[in-house]
Amino acid sequence: MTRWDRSVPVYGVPVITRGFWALLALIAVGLALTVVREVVGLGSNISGMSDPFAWGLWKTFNVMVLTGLGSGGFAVGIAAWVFNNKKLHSVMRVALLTSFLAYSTGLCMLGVDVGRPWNFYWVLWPFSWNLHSPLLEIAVCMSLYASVPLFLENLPPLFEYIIYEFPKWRGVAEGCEKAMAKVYPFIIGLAYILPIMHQSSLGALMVLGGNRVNTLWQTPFLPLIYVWAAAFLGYNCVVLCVLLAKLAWKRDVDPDVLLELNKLTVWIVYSWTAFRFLDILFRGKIAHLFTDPYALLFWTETVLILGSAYVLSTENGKKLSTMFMAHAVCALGGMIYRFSPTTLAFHAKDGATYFPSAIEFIVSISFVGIAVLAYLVAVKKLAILPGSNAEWLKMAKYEEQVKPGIQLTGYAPVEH
Amino acid sequence: MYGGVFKLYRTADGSDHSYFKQQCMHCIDPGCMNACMFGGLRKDEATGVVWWFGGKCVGCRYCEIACPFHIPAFQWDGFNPLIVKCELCRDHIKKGAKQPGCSEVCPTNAVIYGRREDLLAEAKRRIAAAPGKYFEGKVYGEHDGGGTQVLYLSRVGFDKIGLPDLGENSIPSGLKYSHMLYKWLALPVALYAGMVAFAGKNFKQHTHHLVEDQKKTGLRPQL
Repeated sequence: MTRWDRSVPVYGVPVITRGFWALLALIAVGLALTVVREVVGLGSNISGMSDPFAWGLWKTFNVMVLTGLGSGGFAVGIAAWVFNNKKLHSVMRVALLTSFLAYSTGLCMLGVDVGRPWNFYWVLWPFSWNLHSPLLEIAVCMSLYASVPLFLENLPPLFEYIIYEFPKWRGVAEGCEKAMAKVYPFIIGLAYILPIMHQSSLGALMVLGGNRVNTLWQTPFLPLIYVWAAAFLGYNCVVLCVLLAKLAWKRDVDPDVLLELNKLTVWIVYSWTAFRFLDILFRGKIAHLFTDPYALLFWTETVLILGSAYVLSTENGKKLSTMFMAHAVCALGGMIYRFSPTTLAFHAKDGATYFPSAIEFIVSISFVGIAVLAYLVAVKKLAILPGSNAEWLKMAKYEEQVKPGIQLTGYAPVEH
Repeated sequence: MYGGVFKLYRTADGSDHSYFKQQCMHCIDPGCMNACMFGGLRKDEATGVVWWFGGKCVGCRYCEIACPFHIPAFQWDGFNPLIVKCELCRDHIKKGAKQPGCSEVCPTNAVIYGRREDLLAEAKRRIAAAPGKYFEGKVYGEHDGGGTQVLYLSRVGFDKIGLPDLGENSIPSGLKYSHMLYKWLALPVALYAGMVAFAGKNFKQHTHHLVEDQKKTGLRPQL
């Protein structure tokens, strides 16, 4: 039984691996293709989008799905800081980093997807805002969230890195840390309210899709259902990250924290599913669950998400392998859910279909590649992944051998 | 790619057909305009014509999602795409034209132009003059989708000529509950204040524990 006391960098493994180069190559190809896209436009030689299906993979996957998975920063954060769930502090840094990477790459992808990105500067000019537009809310809130509170929340590991690696700058970094600690509650408050707002607005977007969005999904409560789904997707992502770290680098896991996250996932999923069914019931669409041609999709989502939550709630769900599978399947279900209103259950026009082009796939994956690459470098250089104090001491011993002069233990605070 | 304005509906066996003109309905409460972030789509104050202003358009294509009539068309090719839609010859009318090209050249008065109340009265007159001729004896757009400024009479079903059954509520009215939550930003601000209060209390407690831990372990506390 390990206890996660603090974040510890992944040590003793090279940063530059074959995977690193492979990801870099993928990113290069993706970026080259975005240059082509900027020059020739989004026509049929580039994307599979069309006027009836005006939104494709880039918006739905890179923004709607991935920021859903990147919701750990606020989903874990609210549980830890607002509801004082102390165990969860240990996974905060993983949650914050995945959130930041998902949001920043998602926003970049959005810049590639839109046709006239040079006009986006209007976002800085509040008098031009159309306050009725859910997309305006997302544009303002998402960029503000990623660039201010989420960015600031991700700085402490960097300060720490500077303190250990560049003793000359230690005073400055510690000053920054102290300043941050003074206003931290105000920052994290912002880091929770903004995602609640824009994750729900992602759902509000499709309310304007009217009855082209299948009735099993279309509801005035779409915003609430979206932000709720973001919560469990965020937990899924954090659990998968720490379990993958165990697989990849044999990091120890703290079963207490994982079980806590399981419990939260289970209750969020149960209430989310119940709410969806009640919504359908009260809208008088219950028959559609059995007769609608899209019902199979609805049941697929429900079975994947609810089924995996049920597995997590059983004794079997405490086994790491089962837990991993359950969270992966739950995330898959949630990702499918986020694809439904925009694409899968969106009846754009008779005869109109959408399937992403190869270029859309490659660019989309390459932007995910940027996030993965940054994540892999970050967890090896910075203290992100949770570990025990004993692990930290082992790491310190190792680092002191590799880099004589570095001191990672016996710390005494500097008086200013 | 711009869809073609005039279209033909024909049954599979060719027994029935009808031409129709598919164009912007210039809704009273337009979905596209409500969707647009910075006011790239606007409604002319005098005429109610919905027009596109490229200087504020980001090219996000949300207007295409929000329009139940599939009207705004995006130029998919090229590095400087425009949104193209019917603006009822707004430019020509500004320059002194009496009416848009379509109604001006129509020899049979199948397309006419005027104030909405006059058009509505004329439509009702035509229905009364030829009972049973028009589908459901109804003027499409009088109430549909919250009311539109372009009105249709049709012999065949409206769904056959690209006019969906929208009910009487406008597309943006679907968001009325969401707008209530954002009124004056009161709820978000209250939530923010509440979360800061709890987080502040817990943060103090947490940093206290961090200092205690540091005394025990000698390791630098982490936030």
